[in-house]
Amino acid sequence: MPMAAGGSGRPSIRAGSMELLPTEMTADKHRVGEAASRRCCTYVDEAVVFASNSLQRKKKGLPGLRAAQQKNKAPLLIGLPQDFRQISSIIDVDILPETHRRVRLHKHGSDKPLGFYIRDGVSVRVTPQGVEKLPGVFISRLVKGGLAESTGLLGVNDEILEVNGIDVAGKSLDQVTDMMVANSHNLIVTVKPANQRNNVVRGSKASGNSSGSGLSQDSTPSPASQYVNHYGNSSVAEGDSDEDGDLIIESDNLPPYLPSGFVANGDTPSSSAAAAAAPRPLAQSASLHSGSLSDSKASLSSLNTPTHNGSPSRASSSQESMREDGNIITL
Amino acid sequence: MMKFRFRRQGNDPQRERIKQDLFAFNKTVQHGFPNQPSALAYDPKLRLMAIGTKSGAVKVYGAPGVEFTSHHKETATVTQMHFLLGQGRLLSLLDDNTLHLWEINVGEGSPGLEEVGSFCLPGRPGFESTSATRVTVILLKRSCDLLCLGTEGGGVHFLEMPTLTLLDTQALVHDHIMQSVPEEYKCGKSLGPVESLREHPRCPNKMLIGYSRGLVVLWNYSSRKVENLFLGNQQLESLGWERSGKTFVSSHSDGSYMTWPVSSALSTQQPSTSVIPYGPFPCKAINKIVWRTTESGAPLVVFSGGMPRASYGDRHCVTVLQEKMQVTLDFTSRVIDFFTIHCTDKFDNPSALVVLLEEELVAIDLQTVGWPTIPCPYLAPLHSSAITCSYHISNVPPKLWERVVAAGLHQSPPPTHVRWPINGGKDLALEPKHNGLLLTGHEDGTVRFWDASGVSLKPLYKLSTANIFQTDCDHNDGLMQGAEEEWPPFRKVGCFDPYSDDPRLGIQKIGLCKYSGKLVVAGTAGQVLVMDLSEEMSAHVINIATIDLLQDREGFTWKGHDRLAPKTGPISFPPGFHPFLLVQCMPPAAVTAVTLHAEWNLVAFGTSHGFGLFDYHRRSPVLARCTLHPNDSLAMEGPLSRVKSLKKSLRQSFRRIRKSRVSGKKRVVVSSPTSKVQEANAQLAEQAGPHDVEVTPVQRRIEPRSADDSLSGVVRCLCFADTFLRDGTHHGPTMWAGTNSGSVYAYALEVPSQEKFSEHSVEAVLGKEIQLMHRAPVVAIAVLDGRGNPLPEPYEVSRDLAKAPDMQGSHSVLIASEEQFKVFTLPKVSAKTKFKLTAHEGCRVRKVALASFTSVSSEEYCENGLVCLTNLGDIHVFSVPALRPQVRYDCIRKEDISGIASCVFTKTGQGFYLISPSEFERFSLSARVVTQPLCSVDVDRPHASTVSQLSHYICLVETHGTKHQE
Repeated sequence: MPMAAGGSGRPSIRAGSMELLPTEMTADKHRVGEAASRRCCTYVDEAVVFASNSLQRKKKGLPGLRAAQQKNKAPLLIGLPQDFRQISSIIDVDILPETHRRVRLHKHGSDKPLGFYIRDGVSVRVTPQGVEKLPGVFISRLVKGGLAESTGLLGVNDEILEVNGIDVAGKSLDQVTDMMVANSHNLIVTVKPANQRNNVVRGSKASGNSSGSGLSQDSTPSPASQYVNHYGNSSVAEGDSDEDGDLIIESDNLPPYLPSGFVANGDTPSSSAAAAAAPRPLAQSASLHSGSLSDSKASLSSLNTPTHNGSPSRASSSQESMREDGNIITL
Repeated sequence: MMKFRFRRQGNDPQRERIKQDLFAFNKTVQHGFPNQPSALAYDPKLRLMAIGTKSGAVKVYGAPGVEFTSHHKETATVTQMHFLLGQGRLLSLLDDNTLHLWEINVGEGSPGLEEVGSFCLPGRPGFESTSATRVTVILLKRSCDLLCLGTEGGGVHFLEMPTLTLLDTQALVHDHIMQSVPEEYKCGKSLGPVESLREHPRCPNKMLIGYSRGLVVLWNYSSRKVENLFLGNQQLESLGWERSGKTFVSSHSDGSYMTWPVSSALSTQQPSTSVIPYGPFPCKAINKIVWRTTESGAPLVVFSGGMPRASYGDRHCVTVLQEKMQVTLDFTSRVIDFFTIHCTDKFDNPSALVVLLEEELVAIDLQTVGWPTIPCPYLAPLHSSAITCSYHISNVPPKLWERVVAAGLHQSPPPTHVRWPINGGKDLALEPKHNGLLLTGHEDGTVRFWDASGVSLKPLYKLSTANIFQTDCDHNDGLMQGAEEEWPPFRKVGCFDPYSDDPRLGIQKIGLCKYSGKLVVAGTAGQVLVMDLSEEMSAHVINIATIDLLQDREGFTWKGHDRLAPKTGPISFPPGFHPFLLVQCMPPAAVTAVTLHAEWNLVAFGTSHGFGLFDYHRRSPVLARCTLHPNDSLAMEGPLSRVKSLKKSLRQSFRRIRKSRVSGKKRVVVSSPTSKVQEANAQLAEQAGPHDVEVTPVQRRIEPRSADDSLSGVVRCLCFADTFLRDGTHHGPTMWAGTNSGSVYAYALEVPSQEKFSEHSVEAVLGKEIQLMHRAPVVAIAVLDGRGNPLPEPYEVSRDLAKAPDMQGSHSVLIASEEQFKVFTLPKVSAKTKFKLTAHEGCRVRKVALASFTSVSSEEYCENGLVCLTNLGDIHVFSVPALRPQVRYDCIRKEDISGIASCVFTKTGQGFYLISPSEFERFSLSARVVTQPLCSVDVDRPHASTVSQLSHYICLVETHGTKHQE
């Protein structure tokens, strides 16, 4: 079914796979996302800024949409593209049923909380056997000013179907919570929005199956799960590449190897001095902890800002640099 | 391109076969003492003992290694149990008034205990209440063909055994007896429930029927006539025959017992003797009494209860009485039941008394002067003080084993000639190839060493750490004994002692080097004790050092408990583990991680504030590191949760009292139609509880962990490894520490060679810090060699006990957090493989260990696995270092938090977890290494043919049984 639909409607795929990008302006804090309606979000391309989020990214068609948006909100001051930071995106529109929405939240280095709560609930599904009531997990609250709220893509009472490609059916609230927290750096949630009026109506399919009504017409228990494989190949894989930036700090006071038994060496003045005194004072490494770790944290967040990414020369200059999953830490 | 790399693993049939040879999940045996025992039975023919519990478990024990366990389908309390002598069959009565017949399956295949029949006494037509047919007492005749049931209504019903067929016409009703009772005794009152049924020791047709009101009747079953009437006036508790059948003894609710002569006269008014042993003040009831004849003349009387109500009403006592000799065995928990082991010749000559208490089993040797106790080879009361941690050592070298056993023998010399009297059945299990030690740390500061090699967990040695500290309760013991009065002649028996002198003594972490015998034990008040195993008595001064883990961090004040004050001056120690070094962490928070490297003479320990490294050879500190986050205020307050837990424990104990009051009623009224309605209502009311909770839905906040979460500095794991931290060509000693907030610190150590140990000090230099992005607590760190195998333990290589690790290929470090596993390359730290458990399954890692799995089909084939228990109670095994999921098994209920928290894994793919405060369940993940009972019992079942009418299922069992006999 999905493959057939994809094959027949080539143009619609292109439109769908293009990411819809509500953005947050870092330069002057004007939140464009807030202004945007849920149906029609603001799109600003920012291809240079990040490692690619989608292999199928397309830039076509943007100017037209953007023009339409600007007509509505003309007086708003919008900065240069490089001043924008992506905070969320709707992805995989082409492979999901129209009643579902897959939202990616970009936490990155922002100090904004993700800002939402989930709860247990009852999900009503229409099956060939009739209406079925199943336990489900729902968004219960959005925190004011949080990332989730500012995207405008998630709402209270939206049902959570998947977390980063994993079906949540049969999982407890605590399990879903743990899954979301574990993925919180690159959270992709597939929801069935409580409000179905703002669904993206796709050109080719709109005539055949318009789901304007709020009730979803699921023929299979979880349509989204059919796409898990495809999803796993694209989104999760690419998600791995820009997440997981474990921070590795190399200590530069580590002496080079010396034959065992020979302790004193010039490279580490602290240890050579200490070796002389019999009840040696303890290595005072506590100060290093707070200092170096927070410093490097700063460097990590600065890495995530677009400006730093363009200058790899600084990173390569040092011998101590570490490469781990795309992050370069210099000390 | 990327797409193909992330393709899922297919199901390779060859790999599946290998997995089947490596992994298999079995819960194999339960160690320890059954939780809440409620019934006891003994078969003198087969010499088997059975224990039933409040949760409906049935356990049969014979010689050590002979064990059968099963569970009633209903979780109802087992109130009574009786063996069908010699048949390997057992009858149990539950508090829902159902009878169940169990059979030991002795056929080939796995031995087991199976339910083969059940029975419920039907209510009498026309009677609304079923309480009249509630079974109060059971008599199974020695011939095992007839079962007599005494009821609440005063009737006695008869059943044919083992078919459990009710002999309707034979029933003896209350009125029938009443006809023979003299008018003046009747007084219009009923006789009350049947309290006791005893078969005449000589004439199998006759039996004693004792009624609650005090009337005792000698009834002839074949002639259906009352032979004698004994008109007792005290409320009856129990009856017991003297073996000749000429007299019997009755015990009563006022704490008296009476002996009655059986004469030819129809009715007897007065007993020949009547004694209140603990009078003259009001006494509690004597619940059970037995009368045993001895060759030497004076009979031996054993009874439970009967203590003076006011002064000793709260004691749990069994009295043994022979002429002038009297001992009041004073137990620490409630007496459930007891029996004597005696011969069937001319005299009883009881050899042993076995008492089942709520928390332990005690056997008394009645043949040795002074009636000493006999140590039990099983049913060890693991919880004699609450278990606070456990630690397993696989493959214990014989040398250490012998030394620990010798220390244990010195501590409690075995009784000279008495052997364990309950020794039925044969243990067919092979002698275990390797010895396994299980160490349990307890709340009272003791560490107990258990032989965990086989089916029965045997105590080996007990180490106490309390004696090196000054505690308030030191001198009380001596005073207590002096203050005790001469009468009653109390004797403290048993070892269950739930009261801890000082909670700070509690053991938190244990580490043992099995080659050098060095032991490190760490406790609740930040104390770290390093010990050495010694065969000699010694009196010495312990070196004491204090390590400040705050490292001048400002703005923190410790509000928790004080550190323990060590005793000054030399302390004497018996042979065994001798502490020679005490390191006290400041602030004195509980130790959360500890590890030992005996070859380098180093001990590392961590608390919620930081970690330290100590050179115990030179007695000098090497390193102290604070891991506190500046914003973490919780860590400083000390064990804050104690305030909460005190409240909680108070609430719980009140609840327990209330509960025990309810269940403490002797007989709960069973379901009459009216009470059924009440029950249903009660159930509805109970169900309404959780519904109410759901009205306000449970919410969960979705937020990534931040650095300043509380208790982020708790050190969760420590490890030593000889690996490459500086560069790829030179390896050396390293130490790794992981914290609650996903930080890992790796130190390069400079350890002088053995000869120069006294000249140079050990140096530690921070080599690397890894901050896991997801900030989940780091639960384990292990270094893998060039071939991906875990590094051997200290001394293993130098003593030729393990293959040398591959130091050619590049090493890697496996870091397990609560959310994911990752293998990083060394010395350049970059992620090689990973598995994100929480992101995939929504579960969190609780316990993790590396284990080696050997194939069942070939001893040569062996794989390393990462074994992981999650918060949902399921166990996953991952390949190492590829971290591919291999198998997953459900193991513990996810609600059983203490069970999950108590789990320990062995190095060969087995594990233990607490199913109750007193019982370890042992399980096996390996298809090859399985420790389960393998035993046989020679049974004699003359009624096999009649049983086969019962059901097809039983037929099957029986054919197995006969085959076995041929």
